[in-house]
Amino acid sequence: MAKCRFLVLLWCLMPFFFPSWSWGETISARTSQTPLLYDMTLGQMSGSLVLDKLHSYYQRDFSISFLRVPIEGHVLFSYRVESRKARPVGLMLTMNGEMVGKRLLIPDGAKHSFIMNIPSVYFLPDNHLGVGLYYPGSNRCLMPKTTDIRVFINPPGLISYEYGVFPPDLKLSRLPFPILDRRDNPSGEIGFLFGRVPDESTLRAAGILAAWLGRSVRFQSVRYKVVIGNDIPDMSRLIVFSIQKKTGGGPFHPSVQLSSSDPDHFRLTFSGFDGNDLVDLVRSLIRGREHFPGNRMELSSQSESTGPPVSPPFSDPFWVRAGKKVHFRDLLDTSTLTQKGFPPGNLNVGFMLPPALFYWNSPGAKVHYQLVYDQPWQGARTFLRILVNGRQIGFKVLPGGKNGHYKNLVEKGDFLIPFYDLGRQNQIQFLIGSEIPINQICSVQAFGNSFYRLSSDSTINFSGTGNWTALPDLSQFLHWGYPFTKYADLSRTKIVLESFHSPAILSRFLNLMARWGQVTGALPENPEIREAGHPGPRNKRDLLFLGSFRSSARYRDLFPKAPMIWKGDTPVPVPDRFALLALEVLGGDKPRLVDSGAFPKDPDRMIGEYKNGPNSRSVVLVLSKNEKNPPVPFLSSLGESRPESLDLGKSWFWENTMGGVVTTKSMRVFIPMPDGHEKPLTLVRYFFYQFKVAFYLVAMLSVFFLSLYFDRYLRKAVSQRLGQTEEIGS
Amino acid sequence: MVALAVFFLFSSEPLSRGTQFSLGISFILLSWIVSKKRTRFSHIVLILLAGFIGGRYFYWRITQTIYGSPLDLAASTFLVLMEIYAAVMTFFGFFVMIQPFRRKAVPIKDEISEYPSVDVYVPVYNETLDVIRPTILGAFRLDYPPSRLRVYILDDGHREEVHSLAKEMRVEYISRADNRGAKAGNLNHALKMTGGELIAVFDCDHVPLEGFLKKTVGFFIGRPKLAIVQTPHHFYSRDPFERNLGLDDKAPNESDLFYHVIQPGMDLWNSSYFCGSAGILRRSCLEAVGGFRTETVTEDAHTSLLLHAKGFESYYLDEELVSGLSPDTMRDLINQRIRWCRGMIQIFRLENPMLKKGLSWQQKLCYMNAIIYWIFSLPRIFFLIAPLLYIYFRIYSVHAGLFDLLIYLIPYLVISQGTSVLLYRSRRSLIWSIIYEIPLSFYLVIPAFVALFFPLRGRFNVTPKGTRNKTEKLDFYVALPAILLFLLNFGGIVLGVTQYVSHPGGHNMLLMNLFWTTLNTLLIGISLGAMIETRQIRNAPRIVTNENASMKIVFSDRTVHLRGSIKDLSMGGVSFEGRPENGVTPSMEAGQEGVLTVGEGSDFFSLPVEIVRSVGTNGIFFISARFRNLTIKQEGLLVNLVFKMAVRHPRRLLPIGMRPDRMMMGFVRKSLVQIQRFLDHL
Repeated sequence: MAKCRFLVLLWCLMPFFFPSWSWGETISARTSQTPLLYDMTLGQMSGSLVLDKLHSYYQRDFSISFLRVPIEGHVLFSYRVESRKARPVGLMLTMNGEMVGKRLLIPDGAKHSFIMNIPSVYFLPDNHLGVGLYYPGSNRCLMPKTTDIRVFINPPGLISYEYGVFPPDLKLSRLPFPILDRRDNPSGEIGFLFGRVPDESTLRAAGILAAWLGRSVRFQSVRYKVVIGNDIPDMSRLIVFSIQKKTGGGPFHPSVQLSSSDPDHFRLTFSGFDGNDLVDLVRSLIRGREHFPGNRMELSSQSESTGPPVSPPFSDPFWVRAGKKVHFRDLLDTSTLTQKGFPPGNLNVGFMLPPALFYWNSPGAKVHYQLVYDQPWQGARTFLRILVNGRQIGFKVLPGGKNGHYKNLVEKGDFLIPFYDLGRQNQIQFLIGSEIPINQICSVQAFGNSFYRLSSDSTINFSGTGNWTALPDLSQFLHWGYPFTKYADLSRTKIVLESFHSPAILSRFLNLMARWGQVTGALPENPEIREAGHPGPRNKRDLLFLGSFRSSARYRDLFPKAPMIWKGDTPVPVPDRFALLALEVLGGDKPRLVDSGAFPKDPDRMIGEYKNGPNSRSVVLVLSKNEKNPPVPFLSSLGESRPESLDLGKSWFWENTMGGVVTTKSMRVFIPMPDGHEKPLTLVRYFFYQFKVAFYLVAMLSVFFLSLYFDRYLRKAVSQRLGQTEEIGS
Repeated sequence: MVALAVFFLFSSEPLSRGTQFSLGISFILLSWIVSKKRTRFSHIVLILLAGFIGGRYFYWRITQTIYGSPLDLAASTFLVLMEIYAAVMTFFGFFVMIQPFRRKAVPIKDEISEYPSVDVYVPVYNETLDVIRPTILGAFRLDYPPSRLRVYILDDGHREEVHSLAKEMRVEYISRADNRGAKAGNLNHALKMTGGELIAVFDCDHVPLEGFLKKTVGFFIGRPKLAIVQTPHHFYSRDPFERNLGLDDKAPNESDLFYHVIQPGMDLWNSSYFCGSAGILRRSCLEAVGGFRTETVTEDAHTSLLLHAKGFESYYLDEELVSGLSPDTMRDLINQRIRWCRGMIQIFRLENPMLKKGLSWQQKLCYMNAIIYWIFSLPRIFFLIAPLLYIYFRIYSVHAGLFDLLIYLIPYLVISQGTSVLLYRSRRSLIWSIIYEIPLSFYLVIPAFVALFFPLRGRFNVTPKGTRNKTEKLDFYVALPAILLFLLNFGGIVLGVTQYVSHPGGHNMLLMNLFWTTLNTLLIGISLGAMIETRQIRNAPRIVTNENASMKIVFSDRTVHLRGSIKDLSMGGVSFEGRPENGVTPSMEAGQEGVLTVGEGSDFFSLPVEIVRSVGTNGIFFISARFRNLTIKQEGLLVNLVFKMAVRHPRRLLPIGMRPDRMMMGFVRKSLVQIQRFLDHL
């Protein structure tokens, strides 16, 4: 009954909030479900959950799209309680810091169901659900000496909520919403429809747009699926690039329009005469969309947006500047550094690092943090876990309050993030937890009013690192970064695609651009984009080739002096200069000169990077076995499998997937070449760091020559002294 | 500049743990190979290897291990400063010891007119006559043309008996109205009253051998800028460490390193300085610097510094030509060292060699080496308590993992200390250096800092000589600081072991500090043994020898001649072992008179003796006798004989390259014995 009343009320109020909505619209309630037990790090459902005296609570984060108005939610799961001594135990549910409810459990060891309603008032776009044990009592709880109560929660459990969907007010100024709604199925694909085979300008426009969308979600993946042709694919989010023929009919201006056929399908359509129009549209939209009240924008014939000037290196907005200490307030909106309730949500600090972060002589980045926290209840042992990119690197028990002071306790500390753990995109998570101590009398404070705050004066120290790197270095790919250029606008990059006709290749290209936008915050305004068959004149730009094994063989002229040969269609890198020299001398491909036993047989994917000399361009090849492979997020396998050997700066990487198992292998091909600027003394030291034999030799030679010098000096001193006396013995 | 750049690069180059470990091992191996060659070049290589690897250690130590809570920061900073001090001392020592300059005496021509006139000064204050007498006798018997030699007793004690002694010995006597300036004032007063070209100074217990002047004066001829010729101080009595620890001749004397390695090393740089006795100075040079300096209590070094700054020269002749007494008790030794410590730091404050014009940079280094040595007390004490900070209070004086600490520290320690041992040339060992320093350090801290901040405070205190001790006893008050530290360290061991056992796992730092504490405890244990004063009842120290001699025993009816050798000898008596000639077996009783004849051919002399005790076994007689009714001439002969034997008596040199495990076991055993001794005396 209450539900109906609520719906009616909402229905009445809709026009005030959604002017485009009409009274004739019917609100239908839908249901969404998400598993309760879910591992955010792995991105998959997790196994059973066990709550006991040491691990007494569980927390789950989930998002709800703005398009959805939650009506009511439920948490459902099955559990059983095991305990040698039966004593009462219950579960409490908190949502976004507020207590939703408590319920006693049945401690008989048998399987039971747990269901609890969550009223809509508790829901937020980003939700933090807590499930914790409690021991019933009034306001005091007496802990048994040994409590062996264990509550098993069976997977997957369920969080479900009913929601109403209202068509949003379609405004270009709200883009990228609803095309990209990070709360709505963040791993979903976005369709990209090209009305015809795109040209370079069209692809540049698509790349800029893809990067811009990627930039807006930062830490979530964005994937595109390209379709070429006139058939509209059935995809909930679709971007259409349409080239119109010039006719003698009425005036036509390039335009972009946001439309929706139903609450689940949204389309952003760009129409222009040619690729340049599309570029202008995309730029205008990105820069000026706030000024457009409606869902459509047109470009007048005179309007022509010009691209930004070529950016200097490391100038993108997201990259942290190396070589200095950075405060948290420089990295993010500090309002996100406060959480409340218990268990509280994570305090997350995200930042991007440039690809050329030269940290050979620093073990890592030192973080100094200042945490202000409340102790949730007297006697509670509160602890802090620190994770960097999903890996725990620190754990600390926070000091408890004394003499009645349990609020605004301050903890300062330092920890080191090994540079191994840092990539282009990084997130430091501060997780506050608390365990109920045994043998202590506890008093339960009201939930919801425990606050946790990270000071914005906390710092990450990147001193001792510079923007310089030795290339090739495939370890730059680690953590999903884009490897080799320090120019945020890709102005020194030539992207060569195997074919503009291949949706798979184009999808990969757009995913790459999205990733580029995510990691740098910059838009790829100035790359050169070519088709392999029409590569254009040779220039000094770095080369990025996306294609298949076969195409790499076919277009090998694009990479002269590449340290590779082809065995059949599969490229195989030449492991060292001697073998390469032998090949050059003997001429042609001599497969027998190259030991392919070191490489995986039949790889699915291969990424290689090389540079022939300090002033030559870098070449990156991203090859898949055949072009028909389904487009996957660029380098996602690196994020999953995390090959350790990449830390050593290898320059070739293979992967093959057999039966769902991904195996990877990487190796160094050549001596790395410097890229960037560093002080000469640093470079000398780096040279010695790399070539330790030289280091030893120089030291020994110095000792030897210094010894000769001092021996000569002493001999001279003795003979001078001898000259002053008559008979001397030494 | 290139070398400095390479050194900096080498020191600061970041290396992985594995690489640092292999670097350390390779340096140690290389050092071991190089050390097989005992040449100057190889020593320089070792010093440089120690420098390079030490540079890495200190760079790492300073940049990586000093952080943490305020207490940790304070402790680790302080410890680093102490380590830097130790390193500076080590490398200064290398500079001084790398090339000892060995001279041979320059003979004088036979023309008496060539002989410069020499005044021999023997300053006395309150010493007993039996201490002064041999010195006067020795000075009187110096082999030098009598017309060119005058001996003066400079009596600041104004004692009549000393005056009488001077008359008896037919030497000059000078006394003054006051004692202003202590010994230096006394010498200056004598300077005004005498006129010899050269001044030889002997402390009242330092007996010169006959040949002292003949061997030293020759240097002065033809060298007008030569101001000082110094010779080593030989000690015929055992110092408190040797005596109380029962070392006797098993280890070199504590001062051997200074007189046989450091002073010759300083001689290369024209920096060897007058040591207050056993030296000879040119009057004109002294007068050029205003005589002996009275501002500091080490007037000898102070005067030498001014002479050097004036451009005069000094030579060092490494021949033992003077033999004297060591301080008898630890208390006396401490008092002596307090004076030296205060005096050297006063010199730093008043003259500051680093800023003194006229000194070459080598001389500055040598003097600074001599001066900053005396700050050793503070680092020594801190090294003894640093590990306890962790065990008792969990204060980290080194913020580093155990493995990291070992891979940086061990190569540096092994190479630098190994090089030191080589350069010590068997005159000192590292462990004994520490043991000598421990008892002294408690008492030198305050005087060192008082002298640093108030250089003009403090007075000259004479080191007593000839003290006797009837029973073996622990000097409790002198030993008190060492006892407290011993208890603290022992408690640290107990607590540390308890902590380790009760909280297993992850205790690398605890283990390291426990090891350090144990080492400290053993070292302090040995030092405690050094503070147990052994019984000393002899009036004069005995010199062990094996000099050929004969003894004639006069009986009422016959005379028995025994031929054999002197086993030990002192100014008071002799132990003789011999066989009677002609197979006669006499019956000798106490009180029997005899004559001891020493020497061969025409070069012999005889001394009347009275038998104290005689034991005959299988035809060999062991006779103890005392000298009696000696004339002055005979006394002089005896003095010469005793002290010549004393100087000639071989001291054991330490072996280089002893197996570390044997060395360690010996050290542990000694320590446990001394700790047991100490506990017995409580």
